[in-house]
Amino acid sequence: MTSGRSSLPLEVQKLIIAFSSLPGIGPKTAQRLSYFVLSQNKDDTLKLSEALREVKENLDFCKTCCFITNDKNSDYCGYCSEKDATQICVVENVIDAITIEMSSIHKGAFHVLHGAISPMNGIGPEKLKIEELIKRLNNGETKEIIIATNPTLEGEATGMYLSKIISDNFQNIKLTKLARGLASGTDLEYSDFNTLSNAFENRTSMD
Amino acid sequence: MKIANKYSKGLITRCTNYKEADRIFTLISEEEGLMKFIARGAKKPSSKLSGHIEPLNYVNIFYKPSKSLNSVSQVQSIDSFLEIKNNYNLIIKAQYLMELAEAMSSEKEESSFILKLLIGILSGIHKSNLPDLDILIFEFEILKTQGFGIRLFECVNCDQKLIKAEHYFSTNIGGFYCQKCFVTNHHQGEMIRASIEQQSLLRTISRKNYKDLINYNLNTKQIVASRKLIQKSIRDIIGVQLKTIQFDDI
Repeated sequence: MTSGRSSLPLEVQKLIIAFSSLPGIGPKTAQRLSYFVLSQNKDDTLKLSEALREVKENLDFCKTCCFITNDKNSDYCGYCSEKDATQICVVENVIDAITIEMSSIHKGAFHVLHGAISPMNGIGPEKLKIEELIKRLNNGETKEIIIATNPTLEGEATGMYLSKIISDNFQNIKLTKLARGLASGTDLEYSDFNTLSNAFENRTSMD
Repeated sequence: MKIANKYSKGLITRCTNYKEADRIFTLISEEEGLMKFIARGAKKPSSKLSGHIEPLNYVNIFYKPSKSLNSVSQVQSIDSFLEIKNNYNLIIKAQYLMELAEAMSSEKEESSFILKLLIGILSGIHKSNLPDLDILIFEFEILKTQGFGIRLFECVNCDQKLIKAEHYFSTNIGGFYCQKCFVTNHHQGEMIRASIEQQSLLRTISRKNYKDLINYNLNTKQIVASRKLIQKSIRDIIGVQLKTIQFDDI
């Protein structure tokens, strides 16, 4: 008898490989998940597979705002057509848009870039949904762009790149970015230089 | 047996998010070269580690050693290179420098010289009129440190002193062929023709006569041509093309 994964039935091997392709799932976890699926009752497993199939068959990313849409054929999703497109908040990922949306602070539209510029990981501006954003701005409806990329090195680089592109090509559009500084509940003692520098730069009057 | 906590100093080169709120990051340290760490809860806004664990931060780290991922207890920033972080082009250049330093470092091997070189260039690149020249010096020095110094004065084949003329540079050998040897060896790997000025620039850098470079009336084009030569040599030494090269507009 052969040892290791090769002795397993082909179906299980395929399942392990499929689970391993998910982010954060290594070969051991993939094996554990596969054995769990084997021991799970058939209905629950089929529910999972049905949910996966439905997501891929029914959903896509909107051609305009790049958010999730179930209307694959239209240029505008229900979400971006009902929002105020004069103010667009640019975020890195769908989850960032959902977080801001849940807070009800931003009433305008969103644009999801699907990542951030990260040369060390081989991700350049051409791999992000920047072209779609430019196409959207060409409509002339937008008055303000709020750059809400993460305050990381990659997020900041993406913000700087966007601001250069937008300010060079659309002089009439107001460009803003989310404030950087001290987060609620943090200790000043443990703050890093970048956060402190931003907090001092963006200090507000107490009058 | 309880493992004692250790202290290290180095530059964070890359970070990835892990699980709900953790971050895994790579550090080029003085004593142990490339090191991998896990910072638990670092993604939470209230974490005392959060802002410090970012690429391009020079930090002091107090950690619990482990066979796989060292676990961070405390971090203190020494320098965050804010001037670089506020300039898109410099971020791209800094990422290239960090990737190159990573490629030239190994785990469990002292990297104090590489770290010193890296911190040196990162501290001054924002003030430089010719950042590409600083990078060329860095590339040249890092190759020399790791034992891949480029032969600039003699032919790599016959050891004869090179005359003042255009010569061909062999990227896989890391040196120049004299005109006579080039005829018989031109089919061995990639060869790039180097001008007299390019050779002269590299020789001045190799002699560390950095002050003399002011008299050269250098232009970016000339530096870029020399950098391309060194970069191809780096590619042949490490066996892969660095990912950041395609984004550095040289």
